[in-house]
Amino acid sequence: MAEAGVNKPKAVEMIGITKTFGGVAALKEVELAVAEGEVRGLVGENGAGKSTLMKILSGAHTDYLGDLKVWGQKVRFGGTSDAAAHGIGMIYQELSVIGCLSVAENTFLGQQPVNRFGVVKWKQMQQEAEAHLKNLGIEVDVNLPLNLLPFSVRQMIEIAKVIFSGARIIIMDEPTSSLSQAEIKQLFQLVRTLKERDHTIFFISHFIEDVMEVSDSITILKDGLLVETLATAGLTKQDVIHRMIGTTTGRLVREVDEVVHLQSPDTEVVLEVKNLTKTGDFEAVSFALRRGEILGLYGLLGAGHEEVGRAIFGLKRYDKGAVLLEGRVVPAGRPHKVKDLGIAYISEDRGGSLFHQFEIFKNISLPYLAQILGPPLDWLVRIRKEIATADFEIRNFGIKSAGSRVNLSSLSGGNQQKVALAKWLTVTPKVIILQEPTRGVDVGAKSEIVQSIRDLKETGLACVVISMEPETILDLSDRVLIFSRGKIVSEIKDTSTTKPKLMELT
Amino acid sequence: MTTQTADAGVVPNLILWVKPRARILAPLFTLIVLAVFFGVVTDHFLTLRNLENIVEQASLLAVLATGVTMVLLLGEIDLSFANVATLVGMTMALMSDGEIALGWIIPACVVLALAVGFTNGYVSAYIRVPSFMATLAMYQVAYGIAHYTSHATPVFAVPKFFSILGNKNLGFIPWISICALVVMVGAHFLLRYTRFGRYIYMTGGNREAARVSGVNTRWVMTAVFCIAGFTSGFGGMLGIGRLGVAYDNTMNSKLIDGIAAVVLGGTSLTGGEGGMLNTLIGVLIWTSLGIGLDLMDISIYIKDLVRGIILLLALIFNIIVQRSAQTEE
Repeated sequence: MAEAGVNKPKAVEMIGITKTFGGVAALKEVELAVAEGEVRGLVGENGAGKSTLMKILSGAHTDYLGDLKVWGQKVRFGGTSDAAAHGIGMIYQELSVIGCLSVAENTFLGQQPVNRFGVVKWKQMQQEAEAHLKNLGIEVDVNLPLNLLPFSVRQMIEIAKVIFSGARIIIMDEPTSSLSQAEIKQLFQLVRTLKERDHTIFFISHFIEDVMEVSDSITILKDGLLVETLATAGLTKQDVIHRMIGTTTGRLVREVDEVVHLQSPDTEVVLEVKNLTKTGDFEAVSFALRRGEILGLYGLLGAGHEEVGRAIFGLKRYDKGAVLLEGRVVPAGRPHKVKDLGIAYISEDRGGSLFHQFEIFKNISLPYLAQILGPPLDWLVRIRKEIATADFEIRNFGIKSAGSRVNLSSLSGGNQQKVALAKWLTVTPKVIILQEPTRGVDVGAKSEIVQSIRDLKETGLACVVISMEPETILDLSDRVLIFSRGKIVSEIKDTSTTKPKLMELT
Repeated sequence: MTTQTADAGVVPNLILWVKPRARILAPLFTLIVLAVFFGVVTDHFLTLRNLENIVEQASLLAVLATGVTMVLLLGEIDLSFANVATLVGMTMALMSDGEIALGWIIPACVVLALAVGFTNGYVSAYIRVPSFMATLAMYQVAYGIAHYTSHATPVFAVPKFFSILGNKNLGFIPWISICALVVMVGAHFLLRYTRFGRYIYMTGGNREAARVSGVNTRWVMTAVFCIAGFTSGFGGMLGIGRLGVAYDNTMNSKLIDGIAAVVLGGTSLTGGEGGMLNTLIGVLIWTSLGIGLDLMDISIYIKDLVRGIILLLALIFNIIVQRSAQTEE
């Protein structure tokens, strides 16, 4: 147990917490105790159960086994407002402050001081907001509308708001992912101020360094189990990463330290990205992609690699730079033109790229409908041609469905993901961009999708795989570019690497 | 015992057959209920003469509703179409009054109708003003032009060609119904059997997914508004040809008629579902309702209220049926 907790009362105790989603255990018998005034880091891979655990504490999940004690008292929350009444506040990555309202209004959101006619006392509200924020070390003009202020300030206002509403236990979910180094310093200062005032803080993050810098102790979760809780003093990043990954069973490919040898081909360049810059998302991103190569773009949430993928396909405009396909400029912001040039794009968001209420064949035929219908009458819809193409792809990708005429919504997640891939391969593109190609699919579908992508590479296709999951990157890539805070920070090429190494480089 | 086992087999089969077709069967049911009701309470509703009358009366609405259908399939709305119809009809009448040849009038009116539609589409799709607001502004602009150019006085000149299309028959079929049939069949073909039609449904079903799949959604939207401009303009020329006179507010009442007919027909307001068959039924429902109420012996002052209430009830009924079809799938 951490030193900070020795002679202080326990703020939160979680005893034997188990939570299942549709028969799958997300948390198993988790035991946790945090003292008043302690900053507790919470780390683990995607799906380890960090968010689920904190959602139980914040009242968002009410259906769980085990006991929760707050200030030594056994509680069972009926909802988030119940948890708030016990002094627990959660700061999500998506802030709940309202951009068009002023700082003062946001600070008092839902509890503005009013006179007996219900009219807001503006003057009093401004003064109180100013005093309250100053007290926390935040100096800002409280009359400014929030959307004129940087994200970091908005986040701090959100924290101030939660504290003002009486929270003594504050949960921060990935608070540093969209902040610059200087802003992170400011946030940490605020966290320390809160700690001095005996607020208890849970700090969830993928950024191990950030957690290590600010926390007193770190709890490591893996596959729903609590691995260990350690005092932060004296730990190294490697210590934490090794415990996070552990020896995993049932995973598709990687054991912890399994060495993957990367080797990139020496073929001609197909796609070239030059100095691509979009302020706030990514900066000076340059790389070249060769025929028959799979290039992995790896980074944590918000590292900018996902936005680079969207920018190449024209879904996002950029400020500077250029994308060249076989030496020709790829237009920015025009996905239909980018598609016609021979670039395919598989979105990480299945809901936002597939049509659940339409038949499978309509989903598969859409991107290259003109080519499937074929000249000379490529404007005339002939369902039989579409169905023939769809049936071929269904067999090719092993999509389990009751035919190509049933609605997409009848398929499982893994099979939907295969449709998302298949619809771009009815005609062979030159370059294919895959965003999180195996996210949210079961192990069987995952290995089939990985195999399909490897097969495509063998046919000479050039692929970009964009992911936040190191397994996905190592399963597929011939070469890896590592993104951090919008920039390429390193390249792993023609060498051996491991998952911990990849994670350390971010 | 035996009847029970037979039911157990037939009823689920019937449900299986009905569910995917609820979007067309619910409005069809509404139409039949209305027809039976008016057939019972009035003497003349279910006579051949009246049914011919319904078809003829429904024809103009059908032309206007065609454009509305396509816009709604995209998940957008066009509030300007009735006044655009007036504007184009008025232009036709003014040109005719100025003794300009029909060979000039037709192309000029078509270009005007397309230009108005293009403006609606461009402003909504590329500048991204919500179509609700963009077409509401166009509603005022179109009326404003018609009002200004006519100085609010009726224009009694109509080309003979459109007077014939609006009033005369080919054999026993009214020309206006032939026009409506051509427009509706053309639209049906476009929607169901062309790539462009598929893009309309897919874009309406999920705009972002269509864009991510490489569909030029903004172009599709602009083109659909152009088509809606065309059907509005054509409807306006037919309508004013039929009346023989152009007022600056001739088509005003068609705004509610057109949207009510399309929605009653079962085309989804959020896009992606429905089509011309739905609109055909919707147009017949709305026209039957108007004519049926005329035939009933009730105060003319209460008819608008009754139509409004029936529209509301029919919409509630349709939504409930469609929702049950979706959720229990």
